Amino acid sequence: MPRAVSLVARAVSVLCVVLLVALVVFDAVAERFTAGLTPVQFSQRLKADLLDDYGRIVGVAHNAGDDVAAANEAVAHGVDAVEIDVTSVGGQLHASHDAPVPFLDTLFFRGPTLEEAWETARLRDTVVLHLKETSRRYLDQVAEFLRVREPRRVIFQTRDAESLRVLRRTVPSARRLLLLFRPRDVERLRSDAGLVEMIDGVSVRDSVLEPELQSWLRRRRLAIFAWTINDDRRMNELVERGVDGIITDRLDIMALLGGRREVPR
Amino acid sequence: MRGNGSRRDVGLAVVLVLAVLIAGANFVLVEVRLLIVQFETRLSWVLLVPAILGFATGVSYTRKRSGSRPGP
Repeated sequence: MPRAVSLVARAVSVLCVVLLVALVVFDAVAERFTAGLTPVQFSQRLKADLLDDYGRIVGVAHNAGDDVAAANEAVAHGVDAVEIDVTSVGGQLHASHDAPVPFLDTLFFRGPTLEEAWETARLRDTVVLHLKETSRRYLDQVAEFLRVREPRRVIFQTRDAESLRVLRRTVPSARRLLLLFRPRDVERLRSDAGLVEMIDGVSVRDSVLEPELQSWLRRRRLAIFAWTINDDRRMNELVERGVDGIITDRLDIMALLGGRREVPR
Repeated sequence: MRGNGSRRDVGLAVVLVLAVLIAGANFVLVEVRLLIVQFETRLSWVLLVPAILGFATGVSYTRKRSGSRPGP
């Protein structure tokens, strides 16, 4: 018996040493699970010629709500909307791109709560909530969170069609975007007329957004939000082809789409 | 002898589990200023590295003293 205890204890020790070494080596990855992903916002000099119709495009600060400082910076640059990744930590709603470590989430996770992220995001007219989970309890929590707050134009985006169906009933005023990551997601959408009818639009990865898909979506009057657009020439191309929203990390693009022709210093 | 060995193994495992929990719970960047040196590191390592070094120094010092003490 003591021998078995000793063996288990040694195995646990080895595992712990491996975990500690992994924390040192994979520092950035570990940070994502303990503090959430810090958005990488940056500015660049615009290379493309400016168009006249940026005003109708909703500029969205990519994941900025996951970090209060990043959200503040995006708001200061006049962004139209802040995107918040909504996840559940210990039964409470938080803003985090990645799901925190299971069972230890309340001990390890120190990212902002949804309430804290909302406080900054609500400074703009529109808030984009990226729903990271699909359970009914989680969706009810999100609906309850919005019910007791001052009205804002809320856009939900999720890859789970069922979540959008539930939210259509519980938060009817919000717009619902289906996330399209891969061509397979596009095929699923094309083959499901009920789904096309139920959603207000799509939030689509740039590499998947072919001109033909864009025309198909337009014909069905679905709103198109494209991500993550950090190249201003590509932004112009999409604007000319007719997108409704651009999700970006670039502060100067946020300022431009928010109606500013000059980036604040 | 075997009982002592397994107690030591269990003790070490408990200490290491605590170290992992402390490391995870304090995985936040802090700026450390040591008079002329200044660097950024995780609070976890600021807590754990001196603790481990202090413990190791204490153990080796105790062993050295008990080794040099004359027998009865």
